Amino acid sequence: MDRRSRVDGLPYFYTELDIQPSLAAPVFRVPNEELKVLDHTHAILVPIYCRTSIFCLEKLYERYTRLVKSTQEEYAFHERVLAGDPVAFSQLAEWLYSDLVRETGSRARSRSGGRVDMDLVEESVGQALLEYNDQPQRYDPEQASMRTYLVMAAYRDYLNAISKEWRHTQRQATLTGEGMIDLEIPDGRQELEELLTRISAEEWWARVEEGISDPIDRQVMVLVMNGVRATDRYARLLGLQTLPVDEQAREVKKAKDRIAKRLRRLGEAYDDRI
Amino acid sequence: MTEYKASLKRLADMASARPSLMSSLMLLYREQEGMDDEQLADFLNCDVEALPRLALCRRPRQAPHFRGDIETIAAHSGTDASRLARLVRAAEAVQAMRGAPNHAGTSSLLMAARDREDLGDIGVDTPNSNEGSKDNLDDNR
Repeated sequence: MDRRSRVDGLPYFYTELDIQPSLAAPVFRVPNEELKVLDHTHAILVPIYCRTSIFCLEKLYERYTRLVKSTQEEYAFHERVLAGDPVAFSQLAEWLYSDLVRETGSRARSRSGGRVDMDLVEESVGQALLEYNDQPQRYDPEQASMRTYLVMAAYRDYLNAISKEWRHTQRQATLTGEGMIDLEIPDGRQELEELLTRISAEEWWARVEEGISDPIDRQVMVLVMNGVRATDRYARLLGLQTLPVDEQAREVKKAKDRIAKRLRRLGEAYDDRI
Repeated sequence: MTEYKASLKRLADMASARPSLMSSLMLLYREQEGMDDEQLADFLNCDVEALPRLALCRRPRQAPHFRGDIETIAAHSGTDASRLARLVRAAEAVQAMRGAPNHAGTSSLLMAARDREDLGDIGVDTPNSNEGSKDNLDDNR
């Protein structure tokens, strides 16, 4: 049952707290004189209310705000969006948009070894906000702050977008014949592509973070993912610049093989689980 | 490194695919009237910068909420309420002619007829005074 429908005229969190015995002590005042009881559960409110008449919703509100994850401001916006307030989403977007783009960008940057497409980040944030507006009831203020919820949604969209873009690039490369050259170079891209076709981008990043703990290796993987072929880029990342060129190439190949092997294992472990 | 600057306009453009938001109606109206952003802002008596703010507002509900919603949206976006109401009705009429259901799933022409009084209250020409409405629109191009 929707908690908000239990007691007419009061935000649901008041009623949620009212029915807890520990809060039933007559120390609060209810300012709403027209409180209606809509179902049997809330019959408990009637005797408490009638006997004491001294509940204080502000105190209950303070207690509740310590329990929920959203801030008061976020909560107020959320309630207005749910209620169909025609300007609530516009105000919310104005308030949060830039912050969300910045926060999602830094999240993406910290998890992908520095490379981040901010245009794509902004698009993902827009997508997350518009999806929230389409279905605001999917957001639960008790589970996460709105900011966190939206950044997570945007980051998920971002990962899906880069994975889609990467697959598209790969398909084009195959069509133009570049794929044939790729096949001869064991740099882990095949493993990546195979893995990506089986799991979502979000799952993939979670597994990569778990399976490839070394941040340098993760950055090597990002270069591979972006189709970087130049050995010197890898050599710089791996700190091999001082070595002779042929030795650099050997070491780079070793690193790529190592990552390919790990990706293969990740894929196998994933297949075992499903 | 320069800091990336997010633009609310981009979000507003993305929102044009959402029938529940004003952005979709603004796009229809602009296409129908052959207006660019500056001309639309002129028509609505607002700055161009106010357009994204307007675009992200929820589309006004039908009567009996229509008038109140229009006034709330106009106050928030700094636009002229009667022009805004005219834009909404014109865009809805375009939608109806194209055969697309409006957000409420009701015929826009029927809604337009139903809201005649509401529109009249905020100084908007109703279908009974079509010529005046056309003239006013033309005046503001």
